Amino acid sequence: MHVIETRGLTKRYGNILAVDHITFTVEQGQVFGFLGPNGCGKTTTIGMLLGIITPTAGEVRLLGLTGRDGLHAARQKVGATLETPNFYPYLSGWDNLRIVANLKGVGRKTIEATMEQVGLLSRRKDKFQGYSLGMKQRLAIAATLLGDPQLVILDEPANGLDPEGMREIRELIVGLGARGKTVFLSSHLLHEVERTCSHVAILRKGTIVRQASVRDLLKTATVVELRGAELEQLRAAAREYPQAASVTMRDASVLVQLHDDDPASLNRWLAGQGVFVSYLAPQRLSLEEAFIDLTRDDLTSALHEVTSAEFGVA
Amino acid sequence: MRTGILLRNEVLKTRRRAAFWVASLVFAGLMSLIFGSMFSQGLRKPERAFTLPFAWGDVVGGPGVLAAFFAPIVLILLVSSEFTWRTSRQNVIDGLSKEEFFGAKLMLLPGVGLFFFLAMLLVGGGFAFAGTIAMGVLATNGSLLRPVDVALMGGAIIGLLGWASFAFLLAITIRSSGSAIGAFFLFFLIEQILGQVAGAISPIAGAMARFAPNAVFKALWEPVRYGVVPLKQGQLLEIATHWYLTAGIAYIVLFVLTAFLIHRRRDL
Repeated sequence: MHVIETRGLTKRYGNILAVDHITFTVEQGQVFGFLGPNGCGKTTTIGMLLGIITPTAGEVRLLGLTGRDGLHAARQKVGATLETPNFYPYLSGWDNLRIVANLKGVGRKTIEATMEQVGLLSRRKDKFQGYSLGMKQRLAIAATLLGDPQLVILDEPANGLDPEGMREIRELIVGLGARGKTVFLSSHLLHEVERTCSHVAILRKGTIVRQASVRDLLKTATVVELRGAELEQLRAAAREYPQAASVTMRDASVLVQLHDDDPASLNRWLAGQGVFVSYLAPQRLSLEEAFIDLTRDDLTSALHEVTSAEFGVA
Repeated sequence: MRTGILLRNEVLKTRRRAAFWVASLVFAGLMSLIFGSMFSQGLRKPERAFTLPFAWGDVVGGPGVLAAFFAPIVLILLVSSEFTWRTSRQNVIDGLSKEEFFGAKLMLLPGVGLFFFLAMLLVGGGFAFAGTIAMGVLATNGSLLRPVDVALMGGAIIGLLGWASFAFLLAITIRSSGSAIGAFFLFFLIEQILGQVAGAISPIAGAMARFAPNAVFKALWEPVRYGVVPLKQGQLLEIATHWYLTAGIAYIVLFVLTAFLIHRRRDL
């Protein structure tokens, strides 16, 4: 059974198409990263998954259930936060969790254990409005964990956390995955996603441009650095290689991005063309580089907007 | 609907809310000041004796009407803040249905309304009871509460819930306490102006204006309608009280139903 399944999920606000025919699945036990630049539709998509935003078109299945009543029933087995931590500012951390615990049917001992787990037990009587951003995030995570949910949805959980806090959250997420829980993690911290997630979907302008396991995504993005006596000859030959996605020059090297993960074949092919390399080094792209590659247009236009605003260019 | 759980959560949220207690204390202080001065005046001038059961008309039909303004304002603060803080959305994510969330907020409508109404009765009635004892008329005045006083209180509660239900509709629709409170008072100001204009244009429009929400709720607070205070010579009740009661209840249903439909339809 798919834990999350969407088909042609679309949300339109007037003339703005926030989410455009998104189709993806999340399987049991996956730690699924949901990546994309700001404003690309991540939160709207999560809102539709949870049934608090009505889709313009398409279908959502959460834990196999769909429709208004189905999603309500599914939410009983889901722990989720959306955007910023949303709590009553005048209530203490403990009272805020009591409200959630009452809704989820869990007792005081569970609240206590969960607060201990996120390191807030000693500050349980402090008002939420007095918490630091990191503490607010921890409380939000504690609230999602109450009631032992099957699926945990976290929207930017590392926001405002210090490196130690981020490490703790990372361990918590990895721990949830190890216990067979499914985690759906929306984040812009790519190195965190790379270290915690098993699968990712990359969203761009409301559409999914890539969905794969992290391993596959990075595997297909293999880049090989080549050096040789005749650099131009090397570049020309590399361009002819059938599995070459792109060929660029950098200093005294030729960088070849491959469609496959087989640098040996490239070497054999070059030798067959009578071009010999003095240096060949495969370089795996980081998730960040893969992400930038897939969302390059957005980043370029964002940069253009900033530059235009800064220099008054229309 | 998990009524018990929803009620427990609403009580927890409300009793920890400073705005609720500040408004309650200000209201109680104001009521004490007004009814206290009526009590002391009654001691000095026997013709203005503040004694039960005759004082109920002065309590409910007089300054007590302030309860009908405090309750809607507090209700707006309690309801609209759920949207400002996005806790409405989080409550639904945490397992409530949209209908349950609405139901939880709806509980506040009679809860807050009756809280302020009872506070007003307690303070006003308390001073009037003290006046009755001080004047030594406890035995001669007979009953402390007559059926006509109960009828006045019943009508006034409908009026108060009418104002509160309109405030509830604004809180759900506007989702911002400042704007909703502003809209609440602005509406009644506009209604009053339009009512006067309508009366000047034609008698039929004037009669219709007397069934506008504020006019109806206000009429339900008039002691004269229930015989608590006798009609003055030549004074006539143009519209029978049962019509106002029917209209008042209809407005409450209309406002709550509209709020429900808007809430159900909108994304959180």
